[in-house]
Parts: sequence; C-alpha cells; structure tokens
Amino acid sequence: MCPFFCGAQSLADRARVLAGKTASSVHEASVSFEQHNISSLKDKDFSSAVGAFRDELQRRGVKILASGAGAKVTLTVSRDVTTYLGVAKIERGASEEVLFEWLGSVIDAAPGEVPSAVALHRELLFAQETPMLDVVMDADGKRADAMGLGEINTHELQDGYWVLTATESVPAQVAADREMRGFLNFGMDALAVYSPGEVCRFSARDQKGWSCESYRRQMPVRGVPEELLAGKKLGDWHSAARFEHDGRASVVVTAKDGLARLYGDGPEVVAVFRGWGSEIASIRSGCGMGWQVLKTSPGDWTVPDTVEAVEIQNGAARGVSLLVDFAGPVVALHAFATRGADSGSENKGVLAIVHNLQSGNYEAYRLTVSCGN
Amino acid sequence: MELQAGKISLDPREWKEGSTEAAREEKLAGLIFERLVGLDNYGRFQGELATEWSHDAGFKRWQFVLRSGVKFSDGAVLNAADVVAALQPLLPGAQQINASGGGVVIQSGAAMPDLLEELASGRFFVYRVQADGALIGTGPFLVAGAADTIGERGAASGWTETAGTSAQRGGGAKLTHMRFRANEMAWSGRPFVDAIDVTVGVLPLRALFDLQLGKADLVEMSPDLVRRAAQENLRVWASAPVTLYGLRFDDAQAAASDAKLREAVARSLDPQTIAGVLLQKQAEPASALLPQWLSGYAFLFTMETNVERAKEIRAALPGNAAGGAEPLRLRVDAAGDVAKLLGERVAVNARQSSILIQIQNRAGQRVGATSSSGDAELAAGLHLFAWRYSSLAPRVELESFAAAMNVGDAAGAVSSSDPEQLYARERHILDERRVVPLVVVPEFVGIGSNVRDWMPARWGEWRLADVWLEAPEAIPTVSMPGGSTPASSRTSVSGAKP
Repeated sequence: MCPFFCGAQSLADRARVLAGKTASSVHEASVSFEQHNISSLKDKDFSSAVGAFRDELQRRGVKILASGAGAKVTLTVSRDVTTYLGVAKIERGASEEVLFEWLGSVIDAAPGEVPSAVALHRELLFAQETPMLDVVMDADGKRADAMGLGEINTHELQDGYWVLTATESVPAQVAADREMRGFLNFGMDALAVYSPGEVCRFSARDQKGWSCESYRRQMPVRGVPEELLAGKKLGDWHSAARFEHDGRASVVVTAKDGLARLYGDGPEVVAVFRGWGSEIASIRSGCGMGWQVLKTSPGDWTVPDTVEAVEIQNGAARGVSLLVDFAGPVVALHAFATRGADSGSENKGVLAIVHNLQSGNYEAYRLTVSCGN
Repeated sequence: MELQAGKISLDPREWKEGSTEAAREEKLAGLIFERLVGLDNYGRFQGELATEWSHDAGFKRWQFVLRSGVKFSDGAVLNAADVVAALQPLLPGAQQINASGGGVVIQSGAAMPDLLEELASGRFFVYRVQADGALIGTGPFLVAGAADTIGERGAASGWTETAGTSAQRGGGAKLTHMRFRANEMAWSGRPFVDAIDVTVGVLPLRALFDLQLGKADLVEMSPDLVRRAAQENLRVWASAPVTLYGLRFDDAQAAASDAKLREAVARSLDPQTIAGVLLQKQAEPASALLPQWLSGYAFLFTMETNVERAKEIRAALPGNAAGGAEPLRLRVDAAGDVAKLLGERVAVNARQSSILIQIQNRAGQRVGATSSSGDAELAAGLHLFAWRYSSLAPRVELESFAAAMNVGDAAGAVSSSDPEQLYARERHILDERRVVPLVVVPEFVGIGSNVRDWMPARWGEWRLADVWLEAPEAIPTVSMPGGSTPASSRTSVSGAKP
C-alpha cells in the first residue's frame, strides 16, 4: 500500500526522498553504490528512479565512488501487492542499516506501447482503467465518448494528450453481463446506450434525463443495417460484418459455437469459416477487392490477440494482411463511428478495444487499411 | 473440481487463520459470498459490494458506500445492517463497524492505512445468517446441494438438495461432494458455466489421473506431482509462494528454551537443498516469515545455514542437550507428505551437527512406536508447521502469525504499515529464533484442456465465475435449420471467446 498518498509525487520525487533519508544516515563523505530492480518496474522507469536517487545523494554532499569508499549503499526497487518499494541498505563493515520509502502504485505502469497485399495499421487513441465497450468520436477527432459498464467516459485531446474529462453514470437496471458487450449510438440530440437486455436513452430535447427499458432484440451492429440480417437463419450470433462485391452485399456473422458463417442474398449459410475469433468488423478501404473484413484470433481473454484483414470471394476467405499484435485480448471490434454520421463510416476505419494484460488498462485503437504493404 | 480437503466449512467465522484448510474453504466461499472490495491482478482495488470508499487524514475512519440493488440469493436486498452483522465478528476487536446512511463506517483508535488490503482478502466476506443458521450470499453461485458419501465409481450418494440458497455450516461437516449452480441474479453477471461440482477428500494421485482422463476440469495438485503432470503435458498453474513451512520451538521440552541450541538447529538446516532437491524446485528457500511478493522486503533476510558454526555451538553445549538420552522431539503438525518429508530432512540436517532430533507423529507418539510400547504423550520441543498466508496486508499477516505461533512480544506488535517498522518487527522475531522458516511453497492447480479464461490471482484466489469450458469442435453445416443453436452455448464455446 502507499498510505501517505505517494501518488501525488512522481517516482523520481519519491526516490529523492529516499536519497534524502540515506544522505542523513550516511556519515561518510563518500560511498560506493549498487542498484537492483527486483520489481515489475520497467527499465526506463527504474533508470529514472536510480538517476534521481544518485543525483539527490550527491546534491546533499555524498560522493559516489567506484571503489575505496567507507560505506556501500545498495538501492533496490522491490514491490508488494500494490506498491513499489524503494529499499536503501547502508553497509559499513559488519553493520548495516536499512531505509524504506514507498515509490508509487504499481498501476502507474505505462500501457502497452504502440510500435509503431493491403497493410493494416493501428493507432492508439486513448486508454482508461475501467472497462470499455464502444467509442464514438467527434467529427474533429478531439473528443471521444467511451461506453463502459454503467457509465460513459469522455476523453478530450489536450495539448496532444488524451485526458479523461468527464464520467456520466448510466442508470442501467439490468446487471452487467460478463460478456462485456455494448453499443453506443449518438443521434442529433439524443443518445442511446445498448447493453445486453437493456437500452438506456437520453434526449437533450425533452430534458427528462435518462430512461431505460428492456431490450430483448439483438444489439445493433454499426455498419450492418438490420434489413441485411432480416430473414436470415442466424442462430445465436455475436458479431457481424458486411461487405460488398460486384454490387452485392454479403454479411458474415460469428456465432457462439465458434464458427463464422457467410450469408448472401438468401436466408441460408453459403460458407462456414473456422478458426476465427468472436469479434469482426468490416472496412471499405478501396484497396484490393474494395472491402476487407477484420477478424480477431480464437482464444480466451488470458492471451494477447491479433487482428487480420481478410477478403471473401466465392465463399472462401483469404488473409490479405499481416497480423497486427496487441498486448491483450480484443474485447470489441466496431466500425468506426463519429457523432452525427450515418451508422458506421465504413471508410474511417475500425475501432478495436483491447484489454492490455500488462497494465490492465482498456485501450481504444483505430485500425485502418492502406493499399499494398 | 477435486480438492484434497477432508472437510469443508463455508462459514468464515469458523476458519482457522493460517491453515491450508481455511485457504481451501475461502476459495469455495468465494463462489457464494463477496467482499466489500477486491484486488485485481494489476494491484488495483475494485469495488465489489462497495462502490466508493474514503478515509480521514489519520486513516482511523473509513467510509464505504454500498452498491445498490444487490440481492442475496433469497432475493432479499443487501443493506448496511447485513454488512455490519457479517463483518463485525470477523474484524479485529479494535475495529468497529457501523451502518451509516447508505453505507458502513469502520473506525479504530489506531490508524488503518492497510484496511483495503485487509478487507480484500481472507475471511472478510459478507453473508446473511438465515433462521435455520445457514448462510447465504450475493455471489455468482449458489450452493445447490451436498453429499456425504461417495459410492461406487465415484458417484455421490446421500445427496441432499438444498433450497438453492444455503451454505453448509457448522463444525466442518465431512462432505464428499458439493454442487454450486450459477446465480442468475448475480449483480456481477451470471457466470459462464451452469454449475460447479466439487469433490473433496480426493487423494493427489487420484486427482491427477482424473485430470488426465478428463473426469475433472480443475484439481488441487501436490508439489511432488507437478513434475509428473508436466511430463504428461497437463496444464498446471502455480501461484506465488503462499504456504510457509517452518519450525517452531516449544518450551514444553526444556531443551528448546536454550537459545544456543536453537541457533545450532537453525544453522544446521539447509533450505536451499530442501527446496531445490527434496521438493524438486517446486518450492523456494525461505529466510523470512513473509514472502517477497507480500512484504516487498523479504530479500533483506539471508539464510543462516552454517554447518561448521552449528557444530561449534553444539560442541559447547552440555552433552545431553538434544543428545542420545534426550533427543529434541519434533512433532510434524502440518498434514501431508510434504510436511513428513521436511520433518525427516530436518532431522537428517541436524544430525550432521550432532543434534539428535526424534520425529513424533501428530498423536504425540514417537514415529515407529507401537501402541503397546507404553510411550506416554511426550512433549515436543520442536514443531514443524505450515502457515498459509491469507491477508494481503503484511502487517495483519505478520501479527496474525506472531499471535498464532506465540512469538514476538505482544507489546511490540506493529500498528502501522510502515515498512521500516514491519521489517524491524520481523527481524526481531527471527532473531529470537523461536521460529525458523524453511521453505515457501506455491499452490498448484491442474487445469483441464478445455478450461478457458482461467485467471486466478497470483496469491491463490480463484475466479471461477469468469471460467468457461470449450466444447468439442462442432461439425460445421452449410445450412442451419430453423436458426437453432447448439446445446449448452453458455458452457461450451468452441474456438472463440464468448
């Protein structure tokens, strides 16, 4: 634990505090120095802490020598269940003294970094600690509304950084579903939040606030009109993506039995694909066949995911991009949405929401396709 | 699911702190009960029955806002009075809990900076006691039934179907089988699986076979079988080291009160070899009472092994101190084969320093003695114990250990979570050498090949509500008549996340 709210100070600040304690205890003018990292702190952050510690020690008049010093100071960054712990051990011959300082919560770890046929590109938009199910952006791309469990978080781009600026509770009546699915729809002056079994609406016009009601139908899918799914023998399905070829629309649907099924004009399945993950969305790139379906890999939520672009022709699916890796499972793929636009701007990309297994954060990515590798 | 336990009590008030049985019971209780807060795998506190919390500047008064609309399994709405009634008997005497507005307040005369860690672990579940004494909870599962015998071919008999709301309570009834079914009304969402069948009292080797044959999806695994399981390509999960094996000196035998003898015994032990060879690297040598992952400073304690020094000390002691006429009697208090192995190894190590240790079984008789030998119950000067860590607050765990082992001056108990004070306290206890840590051992779980989303906490908390089972691969068909869905779509999802 970090009881005295060390979160208000940076890691380097806390390292300086520890250095100050150490300097007060070190009576010698010079010491030899060692450092060890036995925590999950990343190398870059550890180096920053060590640098701050050494600088402060020297600022307080303690010289650090390679050898020949009267005492030895060993700085170790360790951790317990929730917090990084700085430990400075001062050894003088057979005697030793140990000093401690909390350095910060382990949740301060940075989210997974973005490393920076058709080529599939990803762009990290923002991250948040709490679960995220869907995102709608403003047309200028400087504001995003992220649907979570019973809340909507607003993020704004300020000085090049995304900042969480507001959280609005959605008074859902139905308990959250473990499958973590949701759909956010912004109209001109109204908002609808879809969760499994319920829809909550807010209208700016009538000023009545939120109203929630039971919703037993299949949750809407951005970019897939209801009429495209009407009359088809779908079964219990999870995700859908549409694409067009030779002027004809087709739809692919992933089902809870782990198979993806292709439908054409009629009600029957025309092809079955195996080895797909449950999340799919399509993008109209204008490259290759013009449309690609982005699919995740099969697996559960304990393993990192990949996304691949495929093209479907004559009932066969063919991968047309390299796999894009993520630091955790993709919990949702949606056609990218902007406020006030039609249901899914198919050439604005695909939204991928990822649960970063290293940091625990939920990250929103925009996936786009460009022609050629 | 198969567990090694012989008896189970789902009543947190009955659990014995530090016992492996309590850890097991806590896992099952976590199916039907919930806490105010939890800790996720990223070190973040997550609201469970509480949605918000705050404290005063001195950490002496904490306020928790309760989640609204949470229901017990009988449909009754959870309220603050329920939380008070459940937690007050479980909290240390110095902590008082009261209902306040829509929530509860926990107060103490001493600062409680680690209260969240305390409440997020161990026995601090919220339950309601029914008129018949049964306990009900708000968790993702309900107790659906229990049986007390296993008939032929492992079928449970004497099956008692409950009303679907009760937890077994009272005295740790010797159950062989329990069934938990999904709580459709759980605020956190219905679990993916429909039910969990738990068989207890399963011998380790039998559990391994059942896992191999697909008759069990999750089994407790003993450390000595882990390597074999790996060779069989079985999935095995290991927690952080959560059980400490060590020695405790007992003045019931006069020799144990000799500080020099205690030092000689401590220095004669070889935890490195015990962990690396005897336990086949399925354990870690321990030089501290709290493990590194819990305290963050265990690395500061070093091993004392020094056989030559042990011999010197022993040579300076009277000949009859732990000698042939009056060996130091070691009682293996911990159950299981690991404890027996450790006890024997301790005796072997000590003999190298001319310290004679005689092992007693748990009934107080000399190992190998017959009932006709006339041995009275002989006081043991040494006990081999197993201590299962249960709290995520180092201070709470250390003081709980010290109290249970009757070591460390009670007046010197640490009241703050300051690591300097904790380290000093632990150092003081270890310097007395009334307890000597040996090894820390993880928990091992064998996982069936069709189990998905197994995401336990590394300190051993199982999170079974998120687990699902992959069905055998479906045979794909081009046309699906009538839009029908494969059976058991909740429990069986093939090749895709649900």
